[in-house]
Amino acid sequence: MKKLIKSVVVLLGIFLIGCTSQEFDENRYIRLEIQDALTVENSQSFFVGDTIYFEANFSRYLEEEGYDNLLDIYESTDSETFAYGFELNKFSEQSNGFGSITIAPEFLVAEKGTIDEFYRVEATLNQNQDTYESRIGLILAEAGTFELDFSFLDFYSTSYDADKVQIQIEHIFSDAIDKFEFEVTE
Amino acid sequence: MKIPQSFWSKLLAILLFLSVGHTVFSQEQETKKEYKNQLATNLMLPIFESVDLTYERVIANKWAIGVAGAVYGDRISEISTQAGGVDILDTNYELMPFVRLYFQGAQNKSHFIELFGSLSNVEDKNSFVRNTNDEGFGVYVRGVNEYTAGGLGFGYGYRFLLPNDKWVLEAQFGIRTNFDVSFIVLDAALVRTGIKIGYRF
Repeated sequence: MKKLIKSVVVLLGIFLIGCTSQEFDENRYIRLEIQDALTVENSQSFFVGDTIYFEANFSRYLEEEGYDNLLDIYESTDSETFAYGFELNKFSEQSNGFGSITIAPEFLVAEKGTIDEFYRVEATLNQNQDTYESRIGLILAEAGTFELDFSFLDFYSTSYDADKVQIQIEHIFSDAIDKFEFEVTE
Repeated sequence: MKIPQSFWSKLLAILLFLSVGHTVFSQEQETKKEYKNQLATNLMLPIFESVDLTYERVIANKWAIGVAGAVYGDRISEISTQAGGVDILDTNYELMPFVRLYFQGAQNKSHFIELFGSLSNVEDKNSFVRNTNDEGFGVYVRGVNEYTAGGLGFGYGYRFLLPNDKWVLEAQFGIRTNFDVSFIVLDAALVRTGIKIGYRF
């Protein structure tokens, strides 16, 4: 009997802790998928001083699993920009592999969208308000073998409003290649 | 319209079964004063614009099974302990099958514990729902998300027998979870809690 009472007290304790806890606003976060929204203008061979560009363009209206109609991600989030990141890696003979390198801000150019000093790119809703666009240039300042790394590429809505959802869009490369290697010579 | 012979056979069998059952039941009443059935309602719920009804059937010396139904009004939220955070969770109605163990026997005044299941209709009034706008595109907005939730609960109480043994008074504490998890603990709500009056037959 005492064992039973102890078990009951423990069970009630667990439940009562639950009474005081706070529910997370769990359905605020929406996950979507898009394919081949990012392209790299990679001729694989560049000279020092050249610029390599990459673009991310995706519609404001995206498919959502489980629904017949497209989702309006702008009206749902009120976000005029979606952010994403990338890395630049350089091959090292010493390590016989690629390692991440930093990029000075003067070697980054945003023709569409914006980019900050932490390589956080924001694709911006265009004037027609139907497509998010970014076109970023990377001025190649030194020789070597490099790769632009877009593994685990996601686009995040950037605005926060308590009455709007936040959307994360997972990007998939249909050919499964998410690192773009190129050679820079003097 | 011709009624098939099998219908009359089945009807006769059912009537025979009921009459035998009633005879046995009546004899039990006379000799042992045992009551197998009980209807009860929570006296506290009407204060909160809500109502419930419980039917219970004794199946063994200390054991009973039953089912309870509850319809909740708006004021039930005043005593709701279900933590919703930014969500506003309202349970509209609930069906609860249960099994109960009376420590001093099902025919006596007794402490009891019970385990019950729950099937409830829940409205999340501050949820995000996906609507379709005038252009035909999906849009997420704050709204009401209605769904059916399954749950499991536990209760403890004491049953008093009123002088004629037909009427009972129960004080019960019950808590139920729909298995929503907040961080690492289960969310819970007080249900089947209060003072109940019951009639045994």
